[in-house]
Amino acid sequence: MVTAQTILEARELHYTYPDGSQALNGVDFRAERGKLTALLGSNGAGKSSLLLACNGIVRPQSGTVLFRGVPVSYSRKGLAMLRRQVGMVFQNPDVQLFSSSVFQDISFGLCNEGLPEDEIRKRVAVAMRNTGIEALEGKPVHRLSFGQKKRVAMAGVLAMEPALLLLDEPTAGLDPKGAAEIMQLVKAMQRQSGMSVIIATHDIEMVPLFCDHVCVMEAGRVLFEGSPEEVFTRRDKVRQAGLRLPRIGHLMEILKEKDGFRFSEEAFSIGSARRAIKEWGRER
Amino acid sequence: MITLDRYTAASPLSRVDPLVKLSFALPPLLLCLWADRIALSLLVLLSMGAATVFAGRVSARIFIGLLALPLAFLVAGAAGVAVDFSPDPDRFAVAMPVGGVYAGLTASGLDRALRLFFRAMGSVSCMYFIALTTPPETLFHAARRLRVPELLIEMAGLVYRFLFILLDSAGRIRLAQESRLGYVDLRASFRSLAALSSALFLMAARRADECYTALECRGYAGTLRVLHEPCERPRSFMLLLAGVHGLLAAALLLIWRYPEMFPW
Ligand SMILES: Nc1ncnc2c1ncn2[C@@H]1O[C@H](COP(=O)(O)OP(=O)(O)OP(=O)(O)O)[C@@H](O)[C@H]1O
Ligand SMILES: [Mg+2]
Repeated sequence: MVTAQTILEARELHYTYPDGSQALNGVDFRAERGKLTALLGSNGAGKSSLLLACNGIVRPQSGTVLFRGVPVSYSRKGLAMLRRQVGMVFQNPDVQLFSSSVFQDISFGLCNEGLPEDEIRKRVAVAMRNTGIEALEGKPVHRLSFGQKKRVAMAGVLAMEPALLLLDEPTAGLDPKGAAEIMQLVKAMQRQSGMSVIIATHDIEMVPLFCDHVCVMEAGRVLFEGSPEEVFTRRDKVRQAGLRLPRIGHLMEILKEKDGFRFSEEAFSIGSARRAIKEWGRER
Repeated sequence: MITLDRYTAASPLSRVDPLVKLSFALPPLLLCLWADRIALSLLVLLSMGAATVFAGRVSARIFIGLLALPLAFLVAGAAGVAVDFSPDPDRFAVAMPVGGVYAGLTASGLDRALRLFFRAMGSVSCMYFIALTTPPETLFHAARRLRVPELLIEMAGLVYRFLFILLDSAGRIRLAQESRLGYVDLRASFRSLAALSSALFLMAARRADECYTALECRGYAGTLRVLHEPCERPRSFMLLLAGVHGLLAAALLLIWRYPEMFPW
């Protein structure tokens, strides 16, 4: 079912890498326009492979990827069209940054789009400001820290103003503050420009804070999906997928089952847990 | 690993048009080579040193340390030029017997050696001025303006970038091996080194694949098109250029006009 709200849909994707490892095994998946969708799964579940399929890098052996309701064309032109609108930030920034100059690397995608020079300069400046890397402009890329490189990689993709942004493990390898900042930045961009975002992650704590929709993946397929609350309520399935509840959710579960607390709503973040506990206190 | 990139990026001259910088450093270099006068070479060495340290904001210690690098070769080479062999000890200013003959320094040998030494130092200082104040990207950009084929420039840029990743990975693997006693004895060292090289090779192949994918994601279509930071031609640097060239020209004129005052 494709609604006007669906920006990307994957139907029955199967993909096996040339070396024989089966990465996608019948993935059905939808991302809503203007929403932040998380692909949650343990290592090797196929998250990165699915993102690559969304961008036309991985061409599934069977199944279809639809962008805005239209099947992706794997012709040279079709792929160029797709990638102009679907941007991807890789897990490892060293893979993505090919130039030793921050400015040049960010300008790369914009040059490929054939934009006029002053427009490029403007957009590079905005992307650098948004990602907080203005101070890094003169520094050679190999002298940056991992988190700084990650921001530069992100700026290079955000500058292209994609309609759909694919982020592979955006918070992995970042300190807590850096991870929160990156996610806030993504959230702000999403609110501001209505950009749709798909995030592959196993950062469980981040999901209830930032994501609108969650697809839990296991062994190359989507096990189940729903809002973060819906997903984490199905504890057994979450654990079956090799994941766990957010710590707060786990605490609320223990309070409820072992200590006789009663909560009217499920809580997986500090804010909602606080509300639930206060309400419980009032009712007693 | 000593790499110069750390100084180039921080230098206030890093944004100056590299072609202007070349036209600043190349004539003194040629002067050193052509004139072959100790006084002129020394003057070039001093003015390039001053330009690098004061205008380029590179610390004097770094500059002098780098000059020491070719010193070892130079001293050996100059000694070879200075020392002569002869059976007649009276030819030498200082001499000592070696086997059946005498080895020693003649005035002309010493003169030749000193000239060689300062000539080399002066020329090297010109190159260091460029190397210490010019990030590679601006050099590539200059090469593009000089119509060097695009492919070569792209290759150079990628090699430069990935060299650091390769060095970094090699360093990490080596550290991991060392921490597991990979280099305790000769046997283990050979085995570890072999493992390191093959791991690096495989990694490089895989990395190339991934990198290509990532480039494709941003619309790569055969050429690495990027925008360059604008180059500057600040007045202050133009003044420096005029000053140093003027000084050298004056010195050259003086030596040419009054050779008896400047025997070296
Ligand atoms: N380039 C590749 N060549 C061969 N097999 C691959 C390749 N990339 C991934 N695979 C295999 O495909 C499967 C899914 O991998 P994928 O990278 O999509 O998982 P993931 O969910 O992103 O895992 P992680 O959380 O570790 O990033 C794994 O079994 C993996 O071994
Ligand atoms: Mg992955």
